[in-house]
Amino acid sequence: MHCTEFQERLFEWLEGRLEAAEVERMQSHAAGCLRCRELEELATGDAGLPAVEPPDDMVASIMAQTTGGACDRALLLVSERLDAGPADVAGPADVAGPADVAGSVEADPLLEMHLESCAECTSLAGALARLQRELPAMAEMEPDPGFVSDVMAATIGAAVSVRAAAPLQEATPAPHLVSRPAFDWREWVQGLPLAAPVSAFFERLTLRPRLAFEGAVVGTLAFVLVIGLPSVGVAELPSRLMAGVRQERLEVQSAVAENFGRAAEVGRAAWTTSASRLGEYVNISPSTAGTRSRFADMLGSWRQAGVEIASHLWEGEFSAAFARMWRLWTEPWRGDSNEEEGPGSRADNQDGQRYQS
Amino acid sequence: MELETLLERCRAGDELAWEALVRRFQGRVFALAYHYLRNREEARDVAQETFIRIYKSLDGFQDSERFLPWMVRIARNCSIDRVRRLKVRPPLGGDELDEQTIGPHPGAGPEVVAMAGERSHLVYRALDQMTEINREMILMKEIQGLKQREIADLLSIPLGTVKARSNRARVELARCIVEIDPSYGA
Repeated sequence: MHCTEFQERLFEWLEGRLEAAEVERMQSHAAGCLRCRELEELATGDAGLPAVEPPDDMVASIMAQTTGGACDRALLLVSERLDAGPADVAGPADVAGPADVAGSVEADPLLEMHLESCAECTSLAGALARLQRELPAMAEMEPDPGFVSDVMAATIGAAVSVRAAAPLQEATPAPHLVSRPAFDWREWVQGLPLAAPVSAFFERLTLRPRLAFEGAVVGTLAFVLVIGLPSVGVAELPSRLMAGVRQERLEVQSAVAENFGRAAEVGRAAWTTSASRLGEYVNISPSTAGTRSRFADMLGSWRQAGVEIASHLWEGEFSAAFARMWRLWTEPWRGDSNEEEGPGSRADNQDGQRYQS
Repeated sequence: MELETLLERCRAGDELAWEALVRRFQGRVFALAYHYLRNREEARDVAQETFIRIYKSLDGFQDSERFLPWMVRIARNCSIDRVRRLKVRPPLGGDELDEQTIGPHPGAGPEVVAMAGERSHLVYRALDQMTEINREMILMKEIQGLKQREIADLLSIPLGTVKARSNRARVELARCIVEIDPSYGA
């Protein structure tokens, strides 16, 4: 037998897992090889070295410097095992000790080993087992004897059965009940003629699954209509808003006074004017003779700016990205002021001409 | 009588059924309110308000299996509303706990009452030292016996958080109790 093979099979030999023939080969090699014999003596503890007990706090010190201790894990495991089923705790409810806890967690030898060596965890495990028995008893407390009669008086009135079961003085409502206001606005609202169908309508309306989505769409449209797109200058907003809400003089009274046909004509004119004004208001692409609308140009510039910003962010050039974002936000303002026909100026000019005419 | 039958008769306007329902759950609702308010009079008032709300909402409530979490939710909301109204938090060990209030049923023997009252006193002192979320976890899961899904719905937190917190809350309570009374787990 070679020394390498001896060393590889040494622990199998010491653990008694070798056949008799193999054991004989190992013994003959050890008898002839001083180095392997010393190795065998070291492994079996026959080397004559004095037995040294490790310090008591060595395990705790090692745990503190590695995982930080196993107590938390042990206690969570104890709690989970208590949760998994009724604890195998025998004896009266008032007595709960380590033996009870060990009985409930004996399925895990590692946990049992920890509890045997850790007095704090043993105590806490006992407390956990005791709490599991005692806490459910705190689910109920007995209120005053007159509590039921007070509740009955506050809900359906002093029921006959309660009066029969309790003394008369206990059936009288408590002072805080008497002081409650008698008027209930909910009952008053429910008593209105159309309360039921209106309530049902709003309930159906609010319970529709897309209400939030629809609200978001309407809110966005309202925001765009009122505030405008980000590329539109803030300085234009007042004039745009005023142009949106300003109306022509319709002379409705005189039209109605003439005849119904005149009134209908004025109504159609007003509708056409309002619609065209709304179109001008929301239209940011007054297409001229050019083939590409300004809206498309703007979208293209936004797309290009987005690519540039993304590339800046990808490269980690945050300052450049923010600078590009700021330029994207402020550029149309300067552009509108320099251009001959910006959306705001065009609308203002048109409105001005119309109002002058 | 089965709870479902009781609720059905309550919805039909049976006053006796409603009285029986109040008698059956008065202790639980009162205990819940007392847990939040730690004041007997306030807890009584909140428990009464809870039953009034239950009475007004019984027509729309159909599932008897969900009655307990529904009732607990109403009691909790009423209690929290009252706490906010009073602008006080549950006393942190400063309030004197009445053993008659936190003890077992009055029909129990004097020794049992004294022992159980002392235990409840200890548990309440330990609960006062816990965080709010862990305290509610103990109340809902260990004391009231709600399921984890019901607790998640009640406290508006993910189910995984309930699972993770329930054991930690229990361990925290055990630590607090042993810190107050080292002989508790011995």
